Amino acid sequence: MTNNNFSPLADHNEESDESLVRLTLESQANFAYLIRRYKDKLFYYIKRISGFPEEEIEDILQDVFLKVYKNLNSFNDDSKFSSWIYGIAHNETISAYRKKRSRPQKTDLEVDDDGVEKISSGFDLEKEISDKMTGEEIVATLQEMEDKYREIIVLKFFEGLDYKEISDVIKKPMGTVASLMNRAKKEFKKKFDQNKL
Amino acid sequence: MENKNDLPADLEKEVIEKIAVEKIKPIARWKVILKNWLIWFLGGVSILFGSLAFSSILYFFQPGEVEIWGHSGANWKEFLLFSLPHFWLIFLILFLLVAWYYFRHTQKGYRYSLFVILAISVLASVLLGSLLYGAGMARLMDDFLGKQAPFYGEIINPRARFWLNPDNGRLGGLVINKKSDEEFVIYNRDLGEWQIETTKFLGAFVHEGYTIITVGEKISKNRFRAEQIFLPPLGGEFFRRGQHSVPIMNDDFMMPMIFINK
Repeated sequence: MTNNNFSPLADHNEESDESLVRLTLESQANFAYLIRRYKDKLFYYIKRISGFPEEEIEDILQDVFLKVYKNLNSFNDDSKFSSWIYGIAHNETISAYRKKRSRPQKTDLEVDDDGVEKISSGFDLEKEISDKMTGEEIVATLQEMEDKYREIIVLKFFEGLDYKEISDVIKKPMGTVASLMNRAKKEFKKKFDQNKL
Repeated sequence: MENKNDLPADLEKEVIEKIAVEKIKPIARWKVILKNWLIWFLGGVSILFGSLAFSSILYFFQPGEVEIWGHSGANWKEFLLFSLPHFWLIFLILFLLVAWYYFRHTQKGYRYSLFVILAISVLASVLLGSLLYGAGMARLMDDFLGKQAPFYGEIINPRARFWLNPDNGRLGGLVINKKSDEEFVIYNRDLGEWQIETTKFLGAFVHEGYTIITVGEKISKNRFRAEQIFLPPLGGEFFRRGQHSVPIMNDDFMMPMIFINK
């Protein structure tokens, strides 16, 4: 493994994403900072929406970063870099589904107490329901949902993106994102109630 | 809500190394800009084509044409089949969809719904189309297509074909020989030469080089009695096919001219 271009750099950890993009265009070695900043987030994001095994996620992730590098000049400040890179990860994951011609049945989700709180307040669930809700039940309900609904919930409640950022990731208008979210909430409540019965 | 999985180790090293080994370079900024401009340009061209279609639709419904059609004796089926600018409507819809496709693929195009993009495209086509119509573009285009486009009478302007039916009392063509105010000869490529009889009053307004359409009655083979004569704004060049050496006489200031023998 040669390491010519991965020499120690000036410390750019405090730089903004946009600055790192500019620095990477000056020297490709600086790309390492962007990878380091996003590899974990994107790894879990792909894991949550795809359910692919880790080796495959790493392959997808590598493709994501190569694509990001090739398209660095396409990024502009109209949207956040995080939305842009999530959008590429979203597309690469969908391409991976197409290549495999199948999707895993279960995605890899974990919901802790904080997650239960976020989802119950975000979904406007009645108190008696949210009090009894457990992380496992939420995960079981999410697993039963359509991919498009599950993904939007992952982006909102797991990745913490707002509607504009989600719009930039899934490349749909904000109105569509809002309506998808409403339908996702309704479907979640319906499936959650069915599971409870 | 993070999982406790092993993270991909040394991913940055692998990626940087692959970039170096495969000599991967970011796509040049000028190529990105060119691509974006090209998409906008193609979207703009689509709007321009849509506008041309809209100007032709306006041309179909200009007062002279509407009035002529009112005297054609067409029933509602013929009205639907021949009178409406189906070709231009389809052309307009097609290019609105093409414009939507390109605008959707601009960098921020996804932020706007199909409805918003189509509404803006329609509005742009209507405004630009009206300007083009006012500037005489629709007539230029009709003349150009009427002169040489295949299927002009069948598809682009079915009204032209509608007037080539002497058995049903409709005949159009170019006046090639005026013998008197009561008798003249018209020609069209599909039906050849026809002797036209009419009244002195009507015939007085007809001159060689006019493209006319008439409503009347077939008297015998290639003889027709004209009871009404019109100068059609549309399809002038179509009726002159095969006789382009005869200078066209229909001018803007004469149209719409409608002569009715009551």
